[in-house]
Amino acid sequence: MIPNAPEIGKLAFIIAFWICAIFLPVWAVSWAVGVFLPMIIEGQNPGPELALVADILRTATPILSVLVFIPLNAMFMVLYERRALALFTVRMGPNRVGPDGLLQTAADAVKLLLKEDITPRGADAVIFTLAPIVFFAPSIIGILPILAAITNNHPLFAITNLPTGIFFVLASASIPLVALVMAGWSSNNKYSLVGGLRAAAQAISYEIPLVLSLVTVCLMAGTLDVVKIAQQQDGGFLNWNILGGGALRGLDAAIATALKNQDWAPVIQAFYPYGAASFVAAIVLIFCSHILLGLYLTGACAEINRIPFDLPEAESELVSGYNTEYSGMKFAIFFLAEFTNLFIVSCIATVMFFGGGDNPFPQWFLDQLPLAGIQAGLGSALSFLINDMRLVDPDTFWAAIWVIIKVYSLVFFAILIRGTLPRFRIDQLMDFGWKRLVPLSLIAFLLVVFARVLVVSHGY
Amino acid sequence: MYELQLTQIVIFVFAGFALPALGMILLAWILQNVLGYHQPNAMKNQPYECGMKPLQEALIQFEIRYYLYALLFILFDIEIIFIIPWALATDTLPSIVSGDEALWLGPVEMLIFLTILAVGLAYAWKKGALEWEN
Repeated sequence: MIPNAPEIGKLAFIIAFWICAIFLPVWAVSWAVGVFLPMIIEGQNPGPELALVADILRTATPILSVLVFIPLNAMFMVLYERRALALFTVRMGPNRVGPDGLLQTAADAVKLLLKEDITPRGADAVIFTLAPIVFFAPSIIGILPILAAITNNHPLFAITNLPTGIFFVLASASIPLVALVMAGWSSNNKYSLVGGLRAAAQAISYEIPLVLSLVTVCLMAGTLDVVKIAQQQDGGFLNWNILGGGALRGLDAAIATALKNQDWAPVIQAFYPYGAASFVAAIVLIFCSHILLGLYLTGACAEINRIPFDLPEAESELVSGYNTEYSGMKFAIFFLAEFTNLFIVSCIATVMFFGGGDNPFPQWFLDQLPLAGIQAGLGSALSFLINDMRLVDPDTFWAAIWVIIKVYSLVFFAILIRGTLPRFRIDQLMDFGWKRLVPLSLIAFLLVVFARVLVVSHGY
Repeated sequence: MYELQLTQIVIFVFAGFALPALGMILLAWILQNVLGYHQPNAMKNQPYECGMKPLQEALIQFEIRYYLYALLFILFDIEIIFIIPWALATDTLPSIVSGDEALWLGPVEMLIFLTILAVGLAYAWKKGALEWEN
């Protein structure tokens, strides 16, 4: 019935295995460093020095968990991508190392460590060595401000919350471009040089629609703070920014009261709360937010050099582009950073458009299900783990589950695009960026501005 | 409203940037030197050019168009810097300037601002600055 169903099953098995293999160590590290060690230290009636140590441990938790997370996540995403592509193109994919190829990328990582590190003749050795590091460091920084949003502002990660969150992420996301030009320029190789220049041209062209779309979302939310943006979208998919950033909030409340009173007439009225003008404005907002998501995903694909925008490393024209001369560990760092960037981009889309750690079901829907009893039962059964050992924070746990589902679905979407679309030519790429996306993003911005005035003027 | 704590600055600047970067350098050097081997020779260190000897200098001349796009980008990037504070203040504008028409003040000003910018883009478009092939 479903073609290659066993392959899909194997892919699901790989995903399940690796998500456990990623997040159990991350959770263990953050619990041990952020909760367990400080708890032991503070249990000893500590002096001020030891209390400071406990504080430092708590402060270091986010960065340590990110450092554990990034290599494991990159290993998973490479395998995920290769197996999913194999599924789309009806072939086997890596299936020899470990059961069903589970450990393929772990073996790859070991192989890259054993490779010889070559610096080509005539290369600028200092810049050549610095380029992968400059490429990699911003991806760690870029992940930090989103941590608070995707863990539902857990106290351990609240320290990573910046008032200028999304601005900070965008700023750090534009640094890797410098690294690509550095790599291209210092390699003493024509392919690398052209690759680096293409990366620069492409990244600056697509940065405009990317940033404008995110700024428009910030305008709908009224803040740059990712935690606040995520919190505003709480309460089911009707409140998410993908549906106009709360344009349907009235509808949501109307359905809740209608269920309570068994009177469905107000739901129809909720479509026209303040007359035709606000109805049109809500429709425009919903339509625009879909356009904004499209603009964001397109710009993000170009920014992180993924197919169909992988011109900087176009292997059929430029051998491997800016990383032609890289081998061994330096190449591995480039590789690591690329997949981390894909994860960050999906995280931003999740927080900005899909409600962050919010569960997609509205409260009135959850009330229909017998969840409260189950939750209370689980809570009392696990109260030792939750209250005494502080192993899990239930809010953060559910937020993390939803974020994982949403983010890896978006990654799957990126892989699907890679499996479907051919590569652009450079002139098509620049035309599409400057003549289509830039005007479209300006128009969408203005539409949202005026639609919001119509909605706001009625005091919504 | 917010104050950036010292610990936040520390974690972002040092822990976020210096530590992983230095860690990666150290990891790359140590692991590569311990595990990998290092036997360079003249042929191996030659820049790659389809297996042939490289023909001339690698730093070839490249298109002037890259600069055109960079100039246009600067224009739009500065514009976005102007838009961001405006976008965050749209909801508070009516309370600063009273009256019903005050609602439309901010958006109309932004419309004028973006129109000027769009005229600039249209001019560059017409002049052929956006054409990759002439």
